[in-house]
Amino acid sequence: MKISHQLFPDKFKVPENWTSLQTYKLFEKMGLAIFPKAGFPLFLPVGQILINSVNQIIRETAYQAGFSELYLPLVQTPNFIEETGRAEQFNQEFFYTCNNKLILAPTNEEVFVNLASKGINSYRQLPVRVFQIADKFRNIKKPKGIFRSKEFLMCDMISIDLNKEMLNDSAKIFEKIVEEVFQKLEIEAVRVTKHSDHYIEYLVECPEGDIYVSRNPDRYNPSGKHSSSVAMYFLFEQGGPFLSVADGTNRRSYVGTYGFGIQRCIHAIIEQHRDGRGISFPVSVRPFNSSVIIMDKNEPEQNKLAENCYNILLKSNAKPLFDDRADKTLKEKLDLADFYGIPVKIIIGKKEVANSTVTIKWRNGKTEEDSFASNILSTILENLQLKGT
Amino acid sequence: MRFSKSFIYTRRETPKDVKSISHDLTIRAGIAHQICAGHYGILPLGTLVLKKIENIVRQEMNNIGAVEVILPIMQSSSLWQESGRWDIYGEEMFKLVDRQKREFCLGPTHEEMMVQFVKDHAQKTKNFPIILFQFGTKFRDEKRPRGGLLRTREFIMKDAYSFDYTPQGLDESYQKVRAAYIRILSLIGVDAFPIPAITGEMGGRSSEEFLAPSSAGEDHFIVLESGIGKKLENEDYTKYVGEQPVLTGTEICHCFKLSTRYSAKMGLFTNNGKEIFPAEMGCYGMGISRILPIIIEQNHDERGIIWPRSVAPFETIIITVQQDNSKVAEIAEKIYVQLGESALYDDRFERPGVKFRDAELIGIPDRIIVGSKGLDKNIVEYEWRSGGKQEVSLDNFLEIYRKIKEERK
Repeated sequence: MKISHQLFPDKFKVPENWTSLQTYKLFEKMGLAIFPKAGFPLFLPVGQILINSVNQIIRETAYQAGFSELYLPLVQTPNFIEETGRAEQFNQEFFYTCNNKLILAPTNEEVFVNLASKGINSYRQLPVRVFQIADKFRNIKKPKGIFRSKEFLMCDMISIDLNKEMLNDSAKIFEKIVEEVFQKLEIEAVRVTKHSDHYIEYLVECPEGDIYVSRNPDRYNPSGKHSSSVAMYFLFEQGGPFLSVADGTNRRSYVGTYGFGIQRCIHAIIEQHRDGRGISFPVSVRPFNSSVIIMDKNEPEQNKLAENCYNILLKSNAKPLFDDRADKTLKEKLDLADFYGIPVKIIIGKKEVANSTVTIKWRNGKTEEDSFASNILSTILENLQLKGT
Repeated sequence: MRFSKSFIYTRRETPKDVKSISHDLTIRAGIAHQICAGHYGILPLGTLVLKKIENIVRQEMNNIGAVEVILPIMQSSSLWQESGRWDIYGEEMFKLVDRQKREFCLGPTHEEMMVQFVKDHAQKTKNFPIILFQFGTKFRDEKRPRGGLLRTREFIMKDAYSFDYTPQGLDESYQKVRAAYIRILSLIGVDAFPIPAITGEMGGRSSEEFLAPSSAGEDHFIVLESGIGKKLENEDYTKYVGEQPVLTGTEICHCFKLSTRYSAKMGLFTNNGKEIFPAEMGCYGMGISRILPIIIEQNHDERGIIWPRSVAPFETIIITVQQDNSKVAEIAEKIYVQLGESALYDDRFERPGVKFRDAELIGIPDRIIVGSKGLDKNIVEYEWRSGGKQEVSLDNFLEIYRKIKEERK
């Protein structure tokens, strides 16, 4: 990504006093999202990259675990959710369309169970495990950045199971998905039982959170630490479609619902990876793996060398950020790269052009010089362990 | 993926009130299911196809240097009042109010929000030309949703927007996106013709729509010798009918040179150092969830869908003739593990006839058939949805299979 070609180069900066900002505010100050209206996020290019990376990790993990993806409409008739008596739980938080009184999906269990009842008629089809990644809408009172928005992205997953054992298996599979996803996203969460073992929440500590948890043992505790939910599941003993079972009778199936808050995951990643210099993003979602910094954009020789480096890195999936801004000092450019957690900076200036070298600076401190730009590739890729990816 | 647990379900009978082939096949092959009038759930097979289309589109848009963003679906009425479209849009717009009784709509399109967004954040900079794009759900409260995924109230679009300093700049950006669209459609395997169109309530200098020939089409057009399409209005019929074939087509993309229609009204100005003037804007819609039924319209036979390889939900379907034969199930399982995620394994305890019929219906390009008779000879059958078959020995199966597959590409 070339900063000079971005529409929002002013968004590429280290926010002032960022260390004192809560993560939900930092997200906006970093230029990851803006809010045309409070509660409705618009994701700028770097924010979009983060969203897509998290979606892709969850998607792949869910597919691996045998879940199929589908896409349910964002609009539904309210009778689905009224029939199950859950409408009251969402009291006042529905968005109704004016002319035909449809609701914007606040959640999707009812719609899916209705859909499943049309497709499943035999116990042999179970378990059915599906997921979707889509927007949800809740007309909440106090939105808070991407942390709590009125329109928000969720991955919701559902299983329809024959009996309790199968339902418990589905729950175990989901627990494994959570474990793998959080491992890849480098999120540390605690698993807490809510009410009973039917309702589990995965919580991360953050000052924005309004759930309180104490550790060892992990449990809800009003005097515990501020936390918020990043994933959850709820097992319904009943609630699935009726189907004929082996002995010829009709029986109601079981339903499990599971979910990740995509925006909450991104919030947790930033919250947990802030260090003294910025956000040390986990490699799985890191928006940029390298930064090419040009000292004087108006020098054709420097430009040529820098373009050359940039193109090599681009082709090698080293996800380069090209810092080719003319109005910024070298220090500002180095600080920006550190802030975004970019592990390696390739610096090109007068000295480098004269000696046919580049200077390589790692975020963890090492500085190296390499004799020819085209050779930097091997060094950088080896150190980034990206070779062949 | 295992068929038995995949939430793929097929139907034998054509549902009532279905007029087009794609509508019939999207329902019968388990691609989509209507949840309420005009609002469809896309089932796993359809979702896999949509994701493949999306990836092709994203790659090509990245290749022309376009930048991806994600805009909210709910938009404030004040934006639309600025452009003057809040009232023009009329009944087709889904409107709603929030807690504070402020009016919103579900975005039928995003010109207003894009202009506002670029205005707020780009005015200080000199970074035109720029092309922004997103994938998102759009809403239009159609009076009569029809044709399955062809005309719905809620649909997935890829919309792109370009911003330039000059009309010449706009022309260049326009050509860039137009060329990308032609490449995308050819990669996906859809025939379509760009045809000069009427800009309608969108406004602007000129526009072109891409019409894809389909029996479900609502527009009539001919293809001129130059390869360019011409849309027929009522009076043209008599002139052309008989002379050359008149095609029916469905709009799948629409590109507009909006020029200063929105930038002037909403105050997106730029300058050349001497004077200030409104930015030149283009917008480019591509109906992702409409391309899906069009692929079906253009790629099917009497037995079902024939997916082009680039967008097929699975490359291969493995069919067991006798699932209850342990040797058959064992070999099929082994092949499934070898092929991985690109394969659908029909592990159902159904009659072979049902399985073959379903495989034809859902249109997976390659079929591997594992049966006890074949196993006695140490072979499986390798068949193609497009016709033809070959026996493959189980010794070195994967190697031979890949070789044949490569040769047939």
